[in-house]
Amino acid sequence: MSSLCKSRLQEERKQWRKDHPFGFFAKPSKSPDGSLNLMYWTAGIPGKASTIWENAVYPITITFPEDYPSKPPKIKFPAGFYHPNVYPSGTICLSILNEEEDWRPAITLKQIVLGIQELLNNPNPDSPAQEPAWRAFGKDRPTYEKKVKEQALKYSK
Amino acid sequence: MDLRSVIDLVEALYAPNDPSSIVLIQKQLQDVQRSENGWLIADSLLEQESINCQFFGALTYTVNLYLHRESLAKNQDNISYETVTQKLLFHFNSICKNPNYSSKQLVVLKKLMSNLAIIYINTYQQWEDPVSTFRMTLYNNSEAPIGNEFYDYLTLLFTTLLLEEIHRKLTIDLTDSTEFHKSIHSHLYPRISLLIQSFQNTTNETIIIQWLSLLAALVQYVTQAEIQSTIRYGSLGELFSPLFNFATGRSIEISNKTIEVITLILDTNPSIFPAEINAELEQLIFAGWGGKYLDHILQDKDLNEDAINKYAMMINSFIEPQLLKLLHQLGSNTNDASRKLDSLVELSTVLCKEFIFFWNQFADIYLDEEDILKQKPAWSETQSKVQTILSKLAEVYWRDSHISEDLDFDDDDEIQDFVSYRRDIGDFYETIYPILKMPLLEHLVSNIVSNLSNANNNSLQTIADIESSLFLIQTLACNFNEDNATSEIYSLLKSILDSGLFETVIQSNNKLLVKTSIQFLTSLDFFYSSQLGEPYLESTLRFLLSTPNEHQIIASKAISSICNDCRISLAPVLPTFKILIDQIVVDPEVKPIIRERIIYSYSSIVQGIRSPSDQANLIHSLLNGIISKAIEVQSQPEFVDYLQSLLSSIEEIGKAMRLPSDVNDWYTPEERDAVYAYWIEDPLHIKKQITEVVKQFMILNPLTSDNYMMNEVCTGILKAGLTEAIPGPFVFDTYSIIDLLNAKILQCFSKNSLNVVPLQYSLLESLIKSSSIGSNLLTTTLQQSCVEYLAIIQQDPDLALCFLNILVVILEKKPGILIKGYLLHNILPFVLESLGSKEKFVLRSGCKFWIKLVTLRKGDKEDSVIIRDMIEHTELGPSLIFKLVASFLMASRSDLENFMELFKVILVKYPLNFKKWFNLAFETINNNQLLKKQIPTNDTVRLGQQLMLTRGSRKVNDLLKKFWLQVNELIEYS
Repeated sequence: MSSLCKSRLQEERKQWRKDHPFGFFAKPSKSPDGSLNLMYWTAGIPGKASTIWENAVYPITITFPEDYPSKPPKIKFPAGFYHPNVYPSGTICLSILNEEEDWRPAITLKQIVLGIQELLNNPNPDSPAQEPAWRAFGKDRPTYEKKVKEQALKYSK
Repeated sequence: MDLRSVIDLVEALYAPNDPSSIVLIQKQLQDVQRSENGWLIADSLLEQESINCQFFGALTYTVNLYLHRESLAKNQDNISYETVTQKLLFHFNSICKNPNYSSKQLVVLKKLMSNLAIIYINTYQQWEDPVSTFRMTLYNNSEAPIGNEFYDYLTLLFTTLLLEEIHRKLTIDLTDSTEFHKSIHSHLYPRISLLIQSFQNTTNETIIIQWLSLLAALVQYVTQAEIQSTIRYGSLGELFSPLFNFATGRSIEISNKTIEVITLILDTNPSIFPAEINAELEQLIFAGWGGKYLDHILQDKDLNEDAINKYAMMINSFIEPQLLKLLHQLGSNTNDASRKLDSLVELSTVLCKEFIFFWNQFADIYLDEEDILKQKPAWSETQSKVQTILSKLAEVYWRDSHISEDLDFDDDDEIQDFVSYRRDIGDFYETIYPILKMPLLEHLVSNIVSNLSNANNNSLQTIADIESSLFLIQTLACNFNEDNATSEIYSLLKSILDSGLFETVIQSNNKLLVKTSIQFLTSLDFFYSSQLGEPYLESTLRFLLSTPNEHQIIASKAISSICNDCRISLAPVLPTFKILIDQIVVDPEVKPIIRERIIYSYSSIVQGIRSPSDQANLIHSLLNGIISKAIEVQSQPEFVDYLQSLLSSIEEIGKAMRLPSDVNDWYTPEERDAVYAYWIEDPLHIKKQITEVVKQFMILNPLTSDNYMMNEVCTGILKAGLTEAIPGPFVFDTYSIIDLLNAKILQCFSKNSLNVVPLQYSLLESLIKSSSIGSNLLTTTLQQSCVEYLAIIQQDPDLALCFLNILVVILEKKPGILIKGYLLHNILPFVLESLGSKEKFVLRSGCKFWIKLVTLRKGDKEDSVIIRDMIEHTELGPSLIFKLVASFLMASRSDLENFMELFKVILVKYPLNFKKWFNLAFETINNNQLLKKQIPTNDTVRLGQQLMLTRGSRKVNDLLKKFWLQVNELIEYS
């Protein structure tokens, strides 16, 4: 890990501990020997209240590349996650996570997770990543909502 | 619009009104603001007595300052920044000197000040010292000494807003600001510095508060200026000197504000404090005023919550940057560091929540620095001291992780707050575990064991002790696994389960304890998979199955995880499990997710049974129960969701019956042969039973056959065993699946009920992927269920996408099926057309199809010869390039990426023909006027040549993107 990457990730961890949005969690994983692996985090995104995503915390994994923060982290929900902007592998399609779009090194972990929370209930129909959820969101809203609610039960708090 | 109407609209805007009216009023007023009378309207509104009108007048100035920024800068339109400044100062004077001035009008004054700040930012080269101008205006241009406290307050307020506005502007606008910073440093800063010093001895509390805000704004600006320019402000020490007098000698409000400003300065730019200020601050915190102040504010914790938080934040911000130094000093002779840390531990016993961040940082830095500290002679003293500190804190935070008696379970915010803080405590325990190691875990476990053995173990205190210890062990256990868990850890966990945990939890009837116990058990997967943990599986499962309904969702998750991981050891619980299964199958009130997880869990254990006939008997019995219930409710629309859950339960059985690992690892050769022989014969006709159920609900039952989700479950059942290496109850004969698939597709097209066809096509795709379908059967099926309906498929993007996906998988797996027969010829118009689709997924799959066909990685030599011949010697080559180029040029920006790879592979595979076909494509595009404008031949020829030179490299993307922008007369955003 480059020193820039390490110091930035340590700062991200510090800032997260100091102040993180309500209901979210994020922490680096532990290596098998018990040491901290700053390059790979697990986190939870709570669904916003009064939306079909509420009452659940959706797990994500965050993988930071060696050249972070020049390059964005790769963020994934579990494979098969039901959302129009999530690829079948679970990778999230969001402009602030794309190096060639809106990623900037100044974007913080807090901004990223808040962006993902916002995306949950406000999918971007112009960036479809999986066909079933995208199609249902556009053409069969009752089925879409039923499936999202079923998924919320799966990840209920 | 006349003035009276404008005034009425403004009043209506700020009166309670429905949102749609507000939007309408806003629109009308915006038009007025932006009209050519904007400035006049602003003046007239500011002359009204109504505060709403005055504020809107000041706001109208802001709008016009932005709207006319270019003409103002050029002194056009008979109005300049200078005249606007004079008018704003005039209005300011009129309002603040009006005998009827009310403090409610401060909002108007602030808006006017903000407008002045905007003007200063745009005219700093001419207007160098707005603070003096402002102050002179207030004092009627006389060089009056400080005399009017209200004017002094307004001057400080204006200066603060000015600095904040400058800071905001320079944060957003990243153009070179060197000259601006220079001007501020030379002309504005001396005035501000004087102003700050001249109020250092004031006793007026309103002025002190504003003075503090000004100091904070100045530090923010100075820090920014030193980053953005070469300007250096040097020591600002003299400006800070009264800070501590304000902190210590005044009301809580002043102390609080001072502490807030000190914290902001420490967080923004700690080095701006000179050493003597730091020393003074340290003295105050550790040896003087701090303790007394804290005692004072702690007298009423609720009332002073904000003050307590701010005080703790100040200490955090002051000490945290010194942590590394403190750690290095710990073991040396000086005990100053030790004393400081001891006082902070003491402080943390009172301000637990506020200091958790600090101690997490402390532990992290220690771990990060451990290797270096080990090299020091005083390492053992350092280590021992750190361990002592963290052990004390572990106790403090263990106590604080207890559920409080007065926690209101109905207050969601309060609960969330507690959960969030507890997570921070869990995080702290995880961080300190590598430092304290086993004693930390032992302490928690011994607490649980002793509390469980306590005769009075149902008291609230005991329950709270057990609950918080379980919670913390659970956070630690999440990091344990078979590789890193030691035998001591296994023994400790065993001792908890030996102490009657389950009985106490059930008897307690305490919601939180039940929930935490479930979470605790979920974290023990490594334990249950071990020899030591195996004997506890049965009791654990019984406990989980007995948890109250409100916890069944998380309990079912734990059950399915444990059953999945420990299936072989759990066979003895099957009879008990079956009783529960029978209940949840017949009870429509059970939540679908619980029913499905429990059935999955039961089936996982069944899968672990080695004898296939025993397996089959249990599955048969389970299926009978589910199917008979499904048949019973099949014509009752009110039970559709229940029916769907029953069918989903069958799908869950299918998933659970999959081999959890490689067949040769799972079975001995003898077992494998026995399983193989049994399921080929299938004496109980289980497969038939399942396919009949699918047929019933997917095709025959009118209530369910058009239901998308029901169809999804049915196809899920058929897919469940497709990837299995040996036969099993869900590994169906391919012909049976194809029969169902063909029948269903025929039904859908006959009834024009196309919404579920994609599910069938997806099933076919899975069959091809899993290589379970032979070439002849696939060819017939494709012809019968796809090509036959091509005209309809072409019109429906969902069907088109699914069919394209099938074709792509064929090209990946068995391209010969498509290429050697007649199929490809039949579908060529369709796949060519897909390149022009405006549906993103269709276009994506269409491009993928052509990439696979052109590259043909899986094809044999004959396939390659056929395709090359088709592309080079029939109309296919030119048609493909024409369609590709035309579609690319007409595509939307976000779709361009899809085409790039196809261009590249054609360039690589057919370099000799590419240029010819490329030019031909443009000729056709121009001749048929497919684009708004003709594309000059020179441009297209040049592009063709440039593309040839790339040889399919990444440069193709840039060339094509540039050309697309040119043809569509657009520009690149970035």
